[in-house]
Amino acid sequence: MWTLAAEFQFSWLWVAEVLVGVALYAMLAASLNLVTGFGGMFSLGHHGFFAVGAYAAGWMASLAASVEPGSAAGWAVFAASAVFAVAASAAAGLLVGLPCLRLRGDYLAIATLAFGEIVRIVIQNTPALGGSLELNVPRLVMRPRGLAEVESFRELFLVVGVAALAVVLVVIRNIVRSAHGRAVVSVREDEIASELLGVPTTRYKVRAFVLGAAFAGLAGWYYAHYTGSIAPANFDMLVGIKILLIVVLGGLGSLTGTVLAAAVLVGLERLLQSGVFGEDLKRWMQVEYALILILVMLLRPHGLLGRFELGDLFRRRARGGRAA
Amino acid sequence: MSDALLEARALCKHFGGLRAVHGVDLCVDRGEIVALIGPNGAGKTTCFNCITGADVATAGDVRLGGTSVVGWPAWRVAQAGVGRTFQNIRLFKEMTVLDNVRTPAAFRAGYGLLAAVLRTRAYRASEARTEARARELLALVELEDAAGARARELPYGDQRRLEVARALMLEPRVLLLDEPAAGMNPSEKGELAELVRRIRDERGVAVLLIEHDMKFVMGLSERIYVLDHGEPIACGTPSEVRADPRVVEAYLGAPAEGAR
Repeated sequence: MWTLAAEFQFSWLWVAEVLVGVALYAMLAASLNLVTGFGGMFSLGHHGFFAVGAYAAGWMASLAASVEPGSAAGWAVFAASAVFAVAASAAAGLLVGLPCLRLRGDYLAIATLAFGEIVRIVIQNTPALGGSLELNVPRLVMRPRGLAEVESFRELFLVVGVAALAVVLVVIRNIVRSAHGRAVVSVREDEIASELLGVPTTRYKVRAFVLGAAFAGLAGWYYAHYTGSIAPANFDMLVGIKILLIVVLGGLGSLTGTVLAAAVLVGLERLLQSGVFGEDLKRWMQVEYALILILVMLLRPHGLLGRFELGDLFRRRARGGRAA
Repeated sequence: MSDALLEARALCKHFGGLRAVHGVDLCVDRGEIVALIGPNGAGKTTCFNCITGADVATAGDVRLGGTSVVGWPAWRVAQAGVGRTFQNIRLFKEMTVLDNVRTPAAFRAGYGLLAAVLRTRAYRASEARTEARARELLALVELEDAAGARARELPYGDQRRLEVARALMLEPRVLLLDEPAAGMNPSEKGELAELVRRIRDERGVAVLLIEHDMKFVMGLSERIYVLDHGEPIACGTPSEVRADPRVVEAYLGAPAEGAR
């Protein structure tokens, strides 16, 4: 039985699902890295925006339940629900950001955490969104039935996920390298100096926060359509903490590190879950997971990559190694 | 009113019962180098904070080119043409030297987030302009070779000069320097005085500076204001101020027998 399970665990079907998870968490963590890593705003409520996006997309899809999966209409609703999810979570980001961004450090963390919980409880008490039970998200682009179809469904979503992640990464990278990005980073470095050098700090903090929320909403859209059913329990505090963990593990302010950390963390989790290391290790999974994290933070206190980016390798060489 | 570039009238800043600044009048004209001196705790930096909008004055008026800037947020005062450095260096430590200087130009970027994402022609042209200006300012403060280093890696004196370059990126009409020579050795101070003069002569930027080093202040400034316990006690040319008995008293205590 163990061998059968193990064979299944490492099939392409299994790998594709793990990779979808990596893309999802990389998207979430990259969006939080914009807020926390580059903007210096400590947010523990990112799962709230993830939930808003997922439920916005799920709700819109549920209105189109009669649409034939894979038809032009299906794809249109699929795309429209992405726009709606991003808009909804951006609006939520603005709503939370305007009052909360006056707070700093620990206080901001508590306020955002409270927001995340409020979102979950509001959903639980909204019958139109399935209440505390599941909200069924109708399939719009493909309805997987047999094993072979499940495989192509996962492949399709892997492509969608990688594309969405690429968009998120490129947008964040390009913004961070622009004048607006430098303004955001300067707020992280020294808010008072930044303000006295002509940077409207509140405006930039709100912008970064809203953008981060919008991308978390995109991740929610992706998640809702992939799983086909969402429940408030999928968006609890632990999800918010896991996103933050990936950001810190990868390095605050390193997008390359975020992707790497998402791969390491999600991969590790699934490997431990799979039981390849034996049942004993599987049973103690949570403990091992925590121990590995402690170890990484002790050995690499600035995250796996610090502020390093893959692109630095090439730029450093181009400048003749003069980067001090 | 007058056509002074920067003017503070009856400026007051009270913290509860403490009168940190009380009734200070200050005026800087175009192309002037003016100093604000006084013993520790005299309220000099508080004056700077009220002028730049970092603190809100309890009473009084601050005018920049005839326009009152009282109640403006600090970023707006800065954009209107008031650049400053800090007594305790406040660089963006983890950013590169070049990025430190480029940051204050954000409000002149002239492109939005979408243009940044798409790297449009307008974006590239604006970035090229900003970088060229930043490198020119780095050359002015002799830090062009350190452009790629992180700000925190620079030696102390270089950090002070980097703050000057960063403030100049605002293209200020007046530059406020808070103890720019603190911690420098005599030869560095000489170079700094030269730099301040060049900023005024070549760029037409007026300078208001706080400094404790009397030799530095007397040699550089055209006019000096003296504060003690938050109140103005004297103002005038360096020789007038040096001869003023109230100034000597503020610095040395009781007027000594046979003092100059």
